[in-house]
Amino acid sequence: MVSGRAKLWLGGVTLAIIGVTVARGLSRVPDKPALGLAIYAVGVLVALAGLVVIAMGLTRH
Amino acid sequence: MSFPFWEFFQGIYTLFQTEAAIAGARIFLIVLGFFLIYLAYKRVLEPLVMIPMGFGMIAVNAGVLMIEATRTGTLFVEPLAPPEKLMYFLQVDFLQPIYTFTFSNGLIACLIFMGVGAITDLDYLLAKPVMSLLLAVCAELGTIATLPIAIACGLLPEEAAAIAIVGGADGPMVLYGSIILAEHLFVPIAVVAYIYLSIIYAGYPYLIKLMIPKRLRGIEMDPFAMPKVSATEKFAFSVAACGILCLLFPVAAPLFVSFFVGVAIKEANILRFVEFLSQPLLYGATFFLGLTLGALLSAEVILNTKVLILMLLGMVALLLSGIGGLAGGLICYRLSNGKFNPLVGIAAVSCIPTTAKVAQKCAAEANSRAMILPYAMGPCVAGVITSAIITGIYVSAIGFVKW
Repeated sequence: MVSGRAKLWLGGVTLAIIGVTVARGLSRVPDKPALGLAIYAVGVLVALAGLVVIAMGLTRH
Repeated sequence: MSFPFWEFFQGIYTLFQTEAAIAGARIFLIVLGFFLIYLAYKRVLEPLVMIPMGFGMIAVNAGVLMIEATRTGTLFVEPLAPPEKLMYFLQVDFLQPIYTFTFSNGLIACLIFMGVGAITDLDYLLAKPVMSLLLAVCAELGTIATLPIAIACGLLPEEAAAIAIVGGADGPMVLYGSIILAEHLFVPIAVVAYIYLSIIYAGYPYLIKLMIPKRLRGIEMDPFAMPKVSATEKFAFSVAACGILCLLFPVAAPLFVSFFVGVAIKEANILRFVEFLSQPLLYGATFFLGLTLGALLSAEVILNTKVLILMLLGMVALLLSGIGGLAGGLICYRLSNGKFNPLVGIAAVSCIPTTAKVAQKCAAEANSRAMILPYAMGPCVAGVITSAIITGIYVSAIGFVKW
């Protein structure tokens, strides 16, 4: 069984990877700058949410 | 084949390839060097200066070699190119090397960030990560809202972003961001930022009294109710956060790595490095930051027509960030059913640890038993990280914003 702490860690890292991929990669795909900016912002938020989840996993005892 | 016996011992041979008086003086100075080191070791002379000086005397007089076919010299201070040419190309005048090698590339901000990292405790941030980051995001109101205001005032997007970063209330960040985004305005922006940051301690209490009623300012919070966080957990977070944030914002990677390497060294308990980063490096960098920034503030800079707008926008940015932080504190107060002191919100305006001290001071004025400093330190540290993130976003995304 995977512990709650490990689940949070894995979830956080997964979110961070998705966020980085969206912000650094997908945001360059659209031609419209506004759409690119929106995708970039979503990616940043997802990656930061991943960081918060990692922090929660670290401090869960 | 005739090969003089002396030439087998090049060091000694070259020592005497000169006039007798000079050779004699060299030997005298070598002996004097040994003597000075001995006296310094015995504390007869001041060891701080005399030991390195003695070593220098021995080395420069013993390490003589043939620099050219007929000329002897040393590799210590003998220039390989004429000094005046070196002076010209390296711009070696008083503060010029410090400006060239630490300001123009943003290094000074990174050095300060290393020191700040080494004195930052992540306990409170990791104990309450969601609350800390929520407040820190609210306290970035000035950084976010000043950007469109500055553009509306006629600044270019890069200039607007550079002055908006003042809302993050983090000096090194302002310096780093303005050098990258608007190098021509970095001196006035940095000066404006540092002047305002120095008056935050006096100014924010008025904003607090204006926005938060006394009964809420005096809410007590139990400092012992904070969850404990181990050094290993803080170390692991600093490594993970550094990796993720560097991947996300490569342009701000020097800032992130500087901050988190300081935190990691502190949590790894490498005491000599902690002492080095938190004392000589931090104080040395801060001293030269102030001195060089003052020296850069010439009359031409002040006469720039944009300076007045920058002064106004800097104040707006910090005011909005303070309002945002306190509004975040009021949201947390509502969410906690009245158990949360909203003053903690002002601490999220980064400026570590000044704003946390402001929060504690105002809480203690309202209620002498209110101890909110531990709770205020979490948002304060989170504020440093969110300021770096927004700087990273501005530097990375300014291409999108060029409308």
